[in-house]
Amino acid sequence: MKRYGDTYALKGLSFTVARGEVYGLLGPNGAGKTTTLRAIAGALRPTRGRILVEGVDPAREPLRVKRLVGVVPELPSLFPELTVRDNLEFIAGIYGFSRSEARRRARETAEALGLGDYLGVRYGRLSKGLKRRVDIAAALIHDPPILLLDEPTSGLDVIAASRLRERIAALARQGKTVVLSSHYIEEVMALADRALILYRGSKIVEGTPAMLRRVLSKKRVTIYYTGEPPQSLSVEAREALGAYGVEDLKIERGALSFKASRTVEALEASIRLLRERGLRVVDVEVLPPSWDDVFKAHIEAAGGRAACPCGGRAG
Amino acid sequence: MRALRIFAKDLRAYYLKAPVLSWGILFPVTVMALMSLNMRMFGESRVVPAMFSITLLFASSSMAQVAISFEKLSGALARILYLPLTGADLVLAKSLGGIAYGIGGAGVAALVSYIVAGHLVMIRPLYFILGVVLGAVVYSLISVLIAFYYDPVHAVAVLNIVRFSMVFLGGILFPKAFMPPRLAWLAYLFPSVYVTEVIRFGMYNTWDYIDPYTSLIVLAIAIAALAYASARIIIRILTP
Repeated sequence: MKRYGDTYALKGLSFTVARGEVYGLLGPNGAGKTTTLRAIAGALRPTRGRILVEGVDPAREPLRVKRLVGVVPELPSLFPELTVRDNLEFIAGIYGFSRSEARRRARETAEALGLGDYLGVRYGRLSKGLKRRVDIAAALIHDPPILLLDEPTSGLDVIAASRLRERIAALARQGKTVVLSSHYIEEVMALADRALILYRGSKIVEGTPAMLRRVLSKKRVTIYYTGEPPQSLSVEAREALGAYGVEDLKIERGALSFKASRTVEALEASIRLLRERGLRVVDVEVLPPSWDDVFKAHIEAAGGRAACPCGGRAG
Repeated sequence: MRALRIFAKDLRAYYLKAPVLSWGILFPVTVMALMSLNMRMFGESRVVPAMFSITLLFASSSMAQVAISFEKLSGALARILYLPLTGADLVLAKSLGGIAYGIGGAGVAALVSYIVAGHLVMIRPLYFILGVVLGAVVYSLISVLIAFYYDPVHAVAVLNIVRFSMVFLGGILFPKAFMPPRLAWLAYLFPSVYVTEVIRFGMYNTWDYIDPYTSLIVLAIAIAALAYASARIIIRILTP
C-alpha cells in the first residue's frame, strides 16, 4: 500500500511475476502503474506491505535492487547536453564499470538497439523514438535480469511504437523479465504473458491476455444513419441484437449505439436492420471500452462482490 | 568514485553555462572591483578577506543550483533515482563542482587582490587554505540543500536571499563595530562569519567577530550537519 496523506496511490495490490515473464500493468492515467514500478525499483517506499525482487526487499536494500533492475521511465530523462555515448558511459560508470568496460558496453548496447550511428549525437537533439531507444539502452547497460518499462511507446508515432514493441519482444525472448505499464490495451495484449488491470490504485483483475480480453471486449458501437426511423425501431433493434450480448442500446435521431461483446455480428445485424427499414448508414464508430466500463464489467462478472477502489481515498 | 563520475558529467553538461559564469565569476569579480575602491574606508585587512569570502560564496554556491535545477527541469534527476546511488553519493557529487569552482575562484581573487593592492599578505597560509576549503564546502552544501529542497524558480530566489544576507549581515562586508548592536548577533547565525574570520586570520593574523579556532570548530560542525541533513532530505524528497 502507498498512501499520501489520506489518498491511496496503491491499495491492496499483490502480484507475482515469474522469471522470464512479460507482465503488463494496464490501467488509465493515475491508476498507480508508475507508483508500482517505482516501488519495485526501490525509488519509492511503500507505506505498508512488502515487495521482493529476486528475494530482495527494495525498501530495505534499494541499492541491491537497483542493480537487478533496469528502468525506462515514462518521459525521456537522460542528460540532453551529453551525447548518446557520454550518457551511456556515464550510466555504466555509476554501475561501477571501468572506463574501458563502460565504453565497450555503451557501444555494444547502442549497436544492439540500432543506435550505433547516433553515439556522437546529443541526446537532446534526438527524435522521441530514438530517445526512447537510448533510454532502453541505458536501462540495459548493466545487463539486469529485470526490465521495468513505464509507458514505453507513449508519445511515439505508429511506426516507432511498432518497432519498439518488436525490440521489447526480442528482449523477452532473450530471457529478460519484463514488467511494462501501459494504458494501451492492445500493446499489453500483444506483449504480455500475463497482465493486471489497475484502477485507482487497486487491482481489478489479473490474468492472461485471453482472459483479460473477455473483460475488455465490450466495445461501444455507434452507427450513424440518415432518414426518419420508424417508431418500432427501438423494439425491433432489441429483438434483432439481443442474441449478440448487446447492452445499453440507445436510438437517437441519426445514431444507433450500443455496447457489445460480439461486436462484428452485432454491427452486421444492426446495419441490416437499418437498411431494411429504409435508412441509409453513413458512418460507423467502434470504440474500446472506457476504464469505467472495464471496472463495471468486472464488478458484474464478480457478481457485484469486487472491492470498490472508492475514489482512492482513505476512509 | 561514483560521485566523481557525476561531477565529471556535470562539468561537461552544466558548468560552462551562462548563469554559472555570471554568478560564479563575473559577479564576484565585479564586487571585488567595487570593494577595492572602498579599501581606504574599511582597511585592507577588512576588504581583502571579504573579497575572498564573497568570491567563495558566489562561486561555490552557483554550481549545484544550476546543475540540480537543470536536472530537475529535464527530468534527469528522476532518472538518477533509479541508479544505485546513496544520498551521500548525490550530496558529494553535487558539492564537488561548487567546491572546485570556489577554490578556483579564490585563486582568481588572489590574483586580482595582488594586482589591486600590489601585494598579497599571507601570514598564516595554512589557516587561509583551511578557510578557503571549508568555506567552499559549506557554501556548496548550502546550495545543494536549497537546490534539492526548492523548485528551480524558488531555489534561485532563496539562494540569493541567503547569499545577500550573508554578505550584508553575515560578517563579510561590515566589521562588528559598524553593525548596529541589535543586529550584530545575527552574523553568528551565518557560516560566512566563521569562513571570513579564518581567512582573515590566515592573511593578516587578526580577527573581528570570533577567534579562528572556534570558527574552525563551528565550520566543521556546520559541514557535518549540512552534509547529514542534505543526504537525509535528498533521500526523503527523491524517494517519498
